[in-house]
Amino acid sequence: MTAETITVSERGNRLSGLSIRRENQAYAALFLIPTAALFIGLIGYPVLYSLLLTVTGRSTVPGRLGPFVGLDNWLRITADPIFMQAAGQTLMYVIPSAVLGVVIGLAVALVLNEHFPGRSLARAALLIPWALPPVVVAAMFQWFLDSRRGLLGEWLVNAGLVDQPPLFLSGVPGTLYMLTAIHIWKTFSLIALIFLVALQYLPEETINAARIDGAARWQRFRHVVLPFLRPTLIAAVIIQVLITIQLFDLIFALTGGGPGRYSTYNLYFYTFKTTFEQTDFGYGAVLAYIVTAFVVVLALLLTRGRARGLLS
Amino acid sequence: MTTNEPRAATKPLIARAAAIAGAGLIVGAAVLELVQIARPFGLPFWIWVVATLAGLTLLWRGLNALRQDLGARVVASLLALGVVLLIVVPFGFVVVLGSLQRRADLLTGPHVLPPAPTTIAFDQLMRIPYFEAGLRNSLLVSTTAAIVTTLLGLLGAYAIARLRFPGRGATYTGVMVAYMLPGVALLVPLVAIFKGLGLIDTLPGMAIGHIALTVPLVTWILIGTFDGVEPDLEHAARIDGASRLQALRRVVLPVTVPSIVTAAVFAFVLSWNDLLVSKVLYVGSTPMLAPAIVNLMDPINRIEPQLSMAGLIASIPVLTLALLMQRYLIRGLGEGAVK
Repeated sequence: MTAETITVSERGNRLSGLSIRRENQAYAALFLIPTAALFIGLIGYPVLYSLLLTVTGRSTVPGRLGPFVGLDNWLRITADPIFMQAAGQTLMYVIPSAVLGVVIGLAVALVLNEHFPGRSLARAALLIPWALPPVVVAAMFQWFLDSRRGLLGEWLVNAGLVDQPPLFLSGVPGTLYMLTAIHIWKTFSLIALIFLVALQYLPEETINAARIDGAARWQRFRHVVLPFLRPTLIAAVIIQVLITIQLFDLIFALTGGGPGRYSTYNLYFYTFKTTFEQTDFGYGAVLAYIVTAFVVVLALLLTRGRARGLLS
Repeated sequence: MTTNEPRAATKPLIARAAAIAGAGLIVGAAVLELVQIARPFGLPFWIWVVATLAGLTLLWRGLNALRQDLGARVVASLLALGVVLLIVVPFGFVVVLGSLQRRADLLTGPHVLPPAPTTIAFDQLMRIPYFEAGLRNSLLVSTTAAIVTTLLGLLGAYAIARLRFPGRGATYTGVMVAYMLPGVALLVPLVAIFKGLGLIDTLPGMAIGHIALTVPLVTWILIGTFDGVEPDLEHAARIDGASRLQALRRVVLPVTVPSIVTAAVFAFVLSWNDLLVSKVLYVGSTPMLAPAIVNLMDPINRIEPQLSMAGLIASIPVLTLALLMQRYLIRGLGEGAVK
C-alpha cells in the first residue's frame, strides 16, 4: 500500500504526531459522527423499532407501543384477501411497466443514438418526465384524460377512433392499466437515458466491421448492439421493477385506490393505507417488511451485478 | 440494397423522386390529420397511418440509396420529433397553456389554446392559504434538506470511501441498505417515533423527515464519486505537507464539484417531488407543495386552470435544474434510479 511511503516522507504533517492509522481513525470518527448519528437515528433505530411494531397490537397512547401480540400480525397475511389482491395487482403494474417501459426506452434510445440535427434538444426533452413532480403528472393527466373537459378524448373522437370520449379513469381493471400507461410515460425516458449512456461506449469499429461484412441494420442490432446492451438491459429491467413496486404518488393522487374499494391498490399503497389511515402500525410494519424484502433483494442484485461488472 | 453499384444515372433520379414523394406523403398526411383533429371533415384515421408508414418507407429507401445512412438519419429525426411531441404535448397544452385559461372557458369545451389568456389562476392560487404555505414550506424544506444532506453525506462518504477504520464494511452495507429502503418502510417507524417526540406536523419534523429521505441516496452517490478519484493526487498533496482536511478541500473537492452538485440536485428533486413523507407528516399546519396539489385535485370541486398553474409553479424549479444540469444528471441517473 502507498500508506507506507507516506509514513516515511511526511512526518510532522499529521494530527499531533499520531500514527497514520490512528490519524485515519480520528478523521474517520470526525467525518462519520454526523452521518452515523443521522443514519442510526433516522434509519437504524426506526428499522429496529418497526420490528417491535410487528409484534405489538394497536397502541392507545400516541408514541407508545401497543400490547405484545406475538406473531399475530405476521399470521394475518395468510387470511387477508386484500393483501392477496394488492399483491396480484402489484404484478399487474410491474409486468407491463417492465416489458413496455424497457422496450420503448430501448427503441427511443436507438433512435436518439443516430446523428441528426436537434439530437441534443431531443435528449434534453427526455429529462422532462423524469424531473416533473409525480403529482403534477397526475394532475396533468387528470385533466388531459377527463371525459368531458379533456383534450385527448376530443382528439380521439375527431380523429374518428371512438364515438364518444372514453372514461379513462373509471373502469375495472381499465383504470389500473391507465395508471400503468401514465407510469410508463413518466419512466420510459429514464430508461432511454440509461441506454443512451451505455450506447456511448458501443465500440465504433465493431459496428463498422459488421457493416463491411454486409450485415443489414437489423442484423447489426441483433448480433452486435443487443449483446453489447445485455447487461444494461437486465439493469434497466431491475430498475423499472424497483420503481414500479414503489409506485404510490399516481395511485394516491389519481384514484385513491379506487374505483371500487381496492381496484388500483398495490402492496405499497396498501401498506400506506393500513399504517397511516387505519393507524394499524403493527400490521403496517409487517407489510412494510414484505415490500422491503422484495425491493432490497432486487436492489442487491443490481448493485452486486454492477460491482462485479456484470451489469452496467 | 448495395449503394456503390455503378449503374446508370437513372438510379439517383428514382431515389430522389422516392424521397420527395415520401416526404410529401408524411407532411401532407400530418397536415390533413391535424386539420381533422381541429375541425373534423370525415377523414378516416387509417389513411393517416397508412400514408405515414408508406411515406417513411419511401423516404428511408430513397435517401439510403442516395447516401449511406442518410435515410436512417432523417427517419430517426422524424421519430425523435414524435417522441418529443409525446412528452411536450401533454405538458405544453395541459399544464402550460391550460394554466392561462379562465374558469369560464371550461364550460365551452376543451381548448387547445386559451381563448382569452390570463394569469388570473396565479392570483387565485396564491389566495389559497394551504397552497401559498405549501410553496413556501417546500422551498424552505427542500433547500435545507439538499444542503444539509450534501454536507453530511460528503463527510460520511469520504470517510467510507477513503479512510480505513474498524466497522467500515458494516457502515458501507448500512448505507447501501438505507439507500434501498422503500420510503414507506422508513416512515412506519419514523411516524411512530415522531408522535412520541411531538414532531408530527412541525416544520423541523418535516425537514428531518426529508433529510432522512435524501441522505442515503446522496451518501451512496458520493461514495461512488470519491471511490473514482485517483488516490495518488491526494497522496501527493499530503507529501507536500497538506493535512487530511486540506487535501480534501484543496485537491479532492475541486475535482468532484460536478458530482457533488449533481448529488445535491438529486436530493433537491427527490425532496421537492416527494408526496409520501410530506403527506404523512402533514396533519393541518405544515402543508408541502405536493400534498397541496393533491388537495386541489378534488374530483368534484377542482378548477383545472388553477391546478395547471399549480403544476407549472411546482415544475419550474425541478425543470430548470434538470435542464441546466443535464450533462451531469444523465451520467448519475443510473445511480439515483432506485428512488
